[in-house]
Amino acid sequence: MRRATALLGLLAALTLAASASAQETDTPPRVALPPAEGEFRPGLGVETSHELGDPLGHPLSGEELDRAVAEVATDIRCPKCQALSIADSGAASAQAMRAEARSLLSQGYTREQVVGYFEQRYGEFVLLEPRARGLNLIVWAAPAAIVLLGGLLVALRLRQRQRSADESLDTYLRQVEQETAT
Amino acid sequence: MNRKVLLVGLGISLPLLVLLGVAFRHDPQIVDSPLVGKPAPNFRLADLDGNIVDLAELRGRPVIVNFWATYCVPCWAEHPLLVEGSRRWQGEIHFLGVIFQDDPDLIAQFTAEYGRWGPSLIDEGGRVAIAYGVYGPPETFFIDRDGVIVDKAIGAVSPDQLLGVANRMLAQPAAATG
Repeated sequence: MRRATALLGLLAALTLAASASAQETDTPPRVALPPAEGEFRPGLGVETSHELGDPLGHPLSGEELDRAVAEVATDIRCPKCQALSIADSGAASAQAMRAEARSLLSQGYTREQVVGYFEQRYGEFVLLEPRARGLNLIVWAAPAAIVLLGGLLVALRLRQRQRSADESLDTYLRQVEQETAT
Repeated sequence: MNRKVLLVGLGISLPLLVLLGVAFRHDPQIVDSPLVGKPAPNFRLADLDGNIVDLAELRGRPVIVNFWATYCVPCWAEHPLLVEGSRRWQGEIHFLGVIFQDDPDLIAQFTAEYGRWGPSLIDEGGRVAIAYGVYGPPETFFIDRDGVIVDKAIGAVSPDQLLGVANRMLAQPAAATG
């Protein structure tokens, strides 16, 4: 109980300190945004080349690169957002991922390699369109199966109705025949 | 006829209810990392003082890599625990912080005030965070002596998890060294 109170006190103090420092400085906090291409400090960063393998495409640039980045970005889910692609999100994470995609595409990696790279890092959750395999097949097959099942039920119902209509007509005709015969 | 309708209704709704029951037991915010059990992506980053830290050079000792930021409340909550952990396992486990989309000056102010548990590394462009598939801070990666990610904590790391995984990593002998 004492620990919880102490922790709450610490959090409150930190919140006050953070808001106070934010008020003192009029400028918003600097956020480490992705740098433009070639701005990475030499020798620093992360090694990804051995995980990606050799580029299977050709290095892109200019408008071709812009188009390819836009295409890849629509496939990738922004990790900080709800059901938004990194193309549609202005979040810093989405910007960083677009910059990474741009960097990889400019080195000659294909769209599949780039999407595969993000999937390797974040898991399949990062794909806006789940791959049609395993349990995901339910997602892909369910709409078609529901439409098919619905159609089948309607057809059966119509057939049943038609059959009962035919039967009542037959009964009626038999009754008419019997009455006219007498 | 009513029985048939009931059976069809049950046939459709029961599997959906089971699916809902299973799904509600899982926090949708927690996505299992595909990196657990795989070699940690190697990085080389500068800390706030300009010192270079190369993950590959730390091989042979377990490493705890924590992605954090000053705007993240769970990061404040876990901060004292990481300070305590870094003291307890000094010389046995490396503690590294990677700044996640935050101002290095604010990080410096924070650590000056509340203590530091390891170097805070500047991840320019967030490329290391992407390589580790970080969704948001704090996320903690536990890397064993051989450079393999053995566990990951999403959100503030708990004392039980820190203690459990740290002891497990320390008990494991280095396999691939030499």
